[in-house]
Amino acid sequence: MDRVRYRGTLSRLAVSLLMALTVISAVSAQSRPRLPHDPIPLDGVPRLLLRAIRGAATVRLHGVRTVEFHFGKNADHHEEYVTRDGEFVRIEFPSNSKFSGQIIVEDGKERRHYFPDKNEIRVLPPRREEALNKLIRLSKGGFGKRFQIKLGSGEKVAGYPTATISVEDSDGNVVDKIFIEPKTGAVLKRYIFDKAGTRVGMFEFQEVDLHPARFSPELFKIERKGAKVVTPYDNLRRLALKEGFENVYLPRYTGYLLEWVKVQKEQGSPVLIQVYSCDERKLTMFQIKGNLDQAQLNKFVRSEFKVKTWRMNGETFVLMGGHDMEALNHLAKVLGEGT
Amino acid sequence: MKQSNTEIDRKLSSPQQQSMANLVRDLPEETMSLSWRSSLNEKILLEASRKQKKRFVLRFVRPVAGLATASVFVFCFFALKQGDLDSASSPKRAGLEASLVSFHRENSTSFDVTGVGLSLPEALNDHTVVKESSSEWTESDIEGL
Repeated sequence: MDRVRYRGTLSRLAVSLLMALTVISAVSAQSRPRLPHDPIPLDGVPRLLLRAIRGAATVRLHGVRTVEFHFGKNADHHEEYVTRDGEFVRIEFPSNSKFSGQIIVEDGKERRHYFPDKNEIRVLPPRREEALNKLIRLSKGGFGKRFQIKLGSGEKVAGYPTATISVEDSDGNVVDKIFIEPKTGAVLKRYIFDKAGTRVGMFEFQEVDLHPARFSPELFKIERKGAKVVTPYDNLRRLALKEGFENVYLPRYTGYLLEWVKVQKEQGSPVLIQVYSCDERKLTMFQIKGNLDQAQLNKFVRSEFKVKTWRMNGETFVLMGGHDMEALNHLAKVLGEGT
Repeated sequence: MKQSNTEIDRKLSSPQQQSMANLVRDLPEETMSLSWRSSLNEKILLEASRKQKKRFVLRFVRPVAGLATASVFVFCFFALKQGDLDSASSPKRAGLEASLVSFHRENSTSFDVTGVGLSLPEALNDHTVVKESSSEWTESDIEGL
């Protein structure tokens, strides 16, 4: 009799445990929606591009490169001293540069940017060579439009022969062209074109050593006593408080890491802008104290990327990026949409 | 007081009266001319035809002018109404929507160019002159990175 009762108690306990586990997993699934990551399909990717992607983790170089971009009212041209040992990167600037004294280091896990005039170290997510992965997604139609990848031979860059990868739209317009040293996979030059075919961005190594002597690990560290260490999340908190915005951000478990934040005046009213990265993808979140015309927004976005908007606590939230709508809907829920 | 007929006759036949009668009788006889009447008629005819023309023109001009005035009122009314609608949504908002999209586009592309190097916001934030303008960076931008 006792044995029967004992068995009954055990089975009730097991059922209760099972139910509890079910409830916990359901709640956990609800609070943490499916992450919007998907692996990059590598089938059919040109060997040269694969080499460049793998090279980003193995290539060792030391050189000087010029960087240029021209986007509307924003234009810049500067030189960088680049030291690279796989995922470890150090960037400095010439003494006559407006960025002189600033140092950037990356170790594959985080990026540290030192500002000597403010004695401040900004801790950011690593960038790696995200743009190369983006090329693969582009070729797979991952951004809503099909692009083609074409291989070619390029000119010598900084004394090294190169092979080229051109990304072309369906009409054959080149939107992106990279020059790769084929033995190491080092990207030595890159051009980016706008829809009118104008070159709006480029970098090019002027001098480079692809077989440098061993670097000291200390080169890739910034440790300065007394320096203020700041993260984008700190800045978000401060800016949101100062400008009267909701301090809302994507939690790290979503895979989206806050790169930087700022408040920009648009049409006389402040807009809080947060830029996130998730692998090679960029996601921008706007917070506006007012309404937004969804039709107008769609008109300007066309089919380049997806947009999700919603109203919450008197503010309009906009998520914009090259992700599918399902991912943006999930992220909006994480941020509190509909609560 | 009243003079008698004989008295009047006597006065009329007086030498002074007779001489005056002779003077009047001797005046040259003038024939009546109708030329002034003719010219007056012409003037009246001319004036009449002018008035007729004016009346004819006014018959068309008045409704056209009225219609035009009404149209102007209607146009102004709708233009103002549209203006109100526009100011409430389109031009300002269109500017906002366009700038959000262009911000995302330029920012994403800049990361492709710079890779691990200094990105567009990093390059501009700390070295752009701060101006109070809708399209410029604010002080908060500089602090924002």
